[in-house]
Amino acid sequence: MVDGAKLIAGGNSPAPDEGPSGGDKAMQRYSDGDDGAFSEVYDDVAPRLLNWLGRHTKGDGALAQDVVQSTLLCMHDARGRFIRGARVLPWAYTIARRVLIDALRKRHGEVCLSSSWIDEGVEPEAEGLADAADAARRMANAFGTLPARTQEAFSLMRAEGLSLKETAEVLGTTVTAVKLRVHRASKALHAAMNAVVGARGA
Amino acid sequence: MPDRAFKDRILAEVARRPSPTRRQALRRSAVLVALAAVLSLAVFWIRGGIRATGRPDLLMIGTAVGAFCLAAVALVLGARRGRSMGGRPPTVLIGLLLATPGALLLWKVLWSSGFAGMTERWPDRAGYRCFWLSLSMMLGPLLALVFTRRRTAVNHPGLTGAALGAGIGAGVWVFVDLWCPVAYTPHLLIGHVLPLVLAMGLGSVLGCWVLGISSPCWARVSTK
Repeated sequence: MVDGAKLIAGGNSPAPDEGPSGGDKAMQRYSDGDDGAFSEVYDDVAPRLLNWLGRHTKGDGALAQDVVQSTLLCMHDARGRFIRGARVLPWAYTIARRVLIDALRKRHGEVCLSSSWIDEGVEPEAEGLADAADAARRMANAFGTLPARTQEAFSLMRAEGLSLKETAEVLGTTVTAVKLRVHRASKALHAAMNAVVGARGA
Repeated sequence: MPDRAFKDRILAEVARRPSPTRRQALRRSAVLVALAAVLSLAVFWIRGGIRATGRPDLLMIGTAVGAFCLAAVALVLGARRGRSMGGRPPTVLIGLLLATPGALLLWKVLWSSGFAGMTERWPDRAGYRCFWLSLSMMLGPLLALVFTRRRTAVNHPGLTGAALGAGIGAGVWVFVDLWCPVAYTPHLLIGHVLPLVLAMGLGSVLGCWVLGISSPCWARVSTK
């Protein structure tokens, strides 16, 4: 479950742009011919993708596993074209996102990577389960009114912990665009939280 | 955490599917692109190669050097992905597509206008020979480059393909410019700019079908 209040406060803060991760180095080695390194790539990428996909597939485990499998096989097929120094995680998210969009389109005819990750099942921190459920509903409603691209950007940065640059890479847009979207989402959620606090105080 | 059986299944599938390493992929790409480039140059030489046709040396050198610099920038931006597997941002690709034809045309006309009579109309040179020469030189390298990059442009395959077309088209412009003495604007539009724009269009179509990882690139995400 995802705690909306923590996310607004930046509880799951995006990772700073540090050096290459274990997964990045493993993918480099795999690309250079070390076949055993793919297991490390899997360990770095698969759990995070499954977690992210679990939210966007509304708990459809089979679909999430299919998408992860397709993603990893795509990465394997393209190993010879992996750019030296590139990051593997945003690449994996980008592929998974595209595979998921295609899978959802085939099933439902249209695609919406929506706001299912903020839901009424959030663990209550405020006193009173009813208050917490109400707060969660208001935040979910506020989040749900945002454009899908804004929701995606916020979700990738706050829930998945990707950096601005990585999020921009996954979404195929610029860092400035991601900053704007995340700012809009934060503003909407802050307003929803303030409304909840205001209602309690009244 | 995914279970062990899931991991084993994926690793088994990966072991079953051959996939070239970086060195192998680079070697194959280099051979393919080199063959295409040689074919392209062969077309150029068969059609006559570099021809002065009364142009001053400084005019030829100036247009060639300027076009070469612009083409180099277009090729680097269009053909190389930078440091990210996601490729260049769409703003860079769109900027490249918009700027390349105009920049090349502007340079050619401006530099040629500095030499008396060099921007005059040639009655029997409407531009169709340049058009076909440009297209025939572009096709091989564009197909080779797109093929070597198959399934690598996840986010904007059409745009990426168009950018490849812009880079290749700009490179071919340099050679056709050395062959063609005409700097009359309508001739340049038909014989030099139009093939470049067509290369972008063809690159975009090829990109949609070859560069993306799955279905046609016009999938839309609806907002709810």
